[in-house]
Amino acid sequence: MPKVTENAVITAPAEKVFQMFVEPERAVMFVPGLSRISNVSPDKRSWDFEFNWLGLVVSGHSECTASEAPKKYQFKTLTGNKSTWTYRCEPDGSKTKLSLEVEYEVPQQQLARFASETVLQKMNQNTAREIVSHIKTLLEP
Amino acid sequence: MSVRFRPIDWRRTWVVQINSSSADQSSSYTWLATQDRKRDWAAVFSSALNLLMETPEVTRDVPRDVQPQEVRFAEGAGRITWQRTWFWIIIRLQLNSFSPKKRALIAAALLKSARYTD
Repeated sequence: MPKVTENAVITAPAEKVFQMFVEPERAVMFVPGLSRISNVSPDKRSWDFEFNWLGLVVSGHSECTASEAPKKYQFKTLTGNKSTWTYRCEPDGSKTKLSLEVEYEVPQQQLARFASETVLQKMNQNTAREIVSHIKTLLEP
Repeated sequence: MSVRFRPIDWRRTWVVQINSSSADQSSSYTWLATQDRKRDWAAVFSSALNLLMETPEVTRDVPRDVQPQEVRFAEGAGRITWQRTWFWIIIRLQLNSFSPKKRALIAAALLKSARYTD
């Protein structure tokens, strides 16, 4: 599967950075286009998501596959085009190196209609960059 | 995964930004929302602020019909007020702290919450 990766050094302890991921609803605050997280299971290991771009609504289901505080948090989107999102926090003194890796299936039918694989990769890269940048912005003063 | 075109989403609250201004140290935003007397705006914004890792301070002893109502955060540097009129609810956000980028991101997140929180 193709993948994109983004990194940032955040002036905050790894424990605080990791807190951004453990509440699934929090993703709405820093993921572009994500409008709703619902049906979160009591153990916060599964949830439904909904993106909304000017009336185009994409919804699906996700499950957390790894939560190793404060180092690694991973979840998978299980419906439609499958993807795996992995956040890694590496402590560096009072700072944290955050990395986000997104592995995704290339949707062949949609690809023929909407975009080339390169364009799709560019879109995913930009989204990952925005997410990491937003997390850094929210956690720093 | 489901993909739908839903230009009218009845679960969504219509909220539009009608004004924003930003200076070196502060930003302010004004939004108009459709009337929904049942909506607990204090709960909507408090929940969003918790997700933003801010501590909301709601004046709970003020009756809900007293105008305007407000939620403060960031030790008073952030303030959201809302006032009901005959047709609209006018929401004002004032941010007197944070970097310009963070102020814009907080405003965008709160606006998203106002629109999509059930």
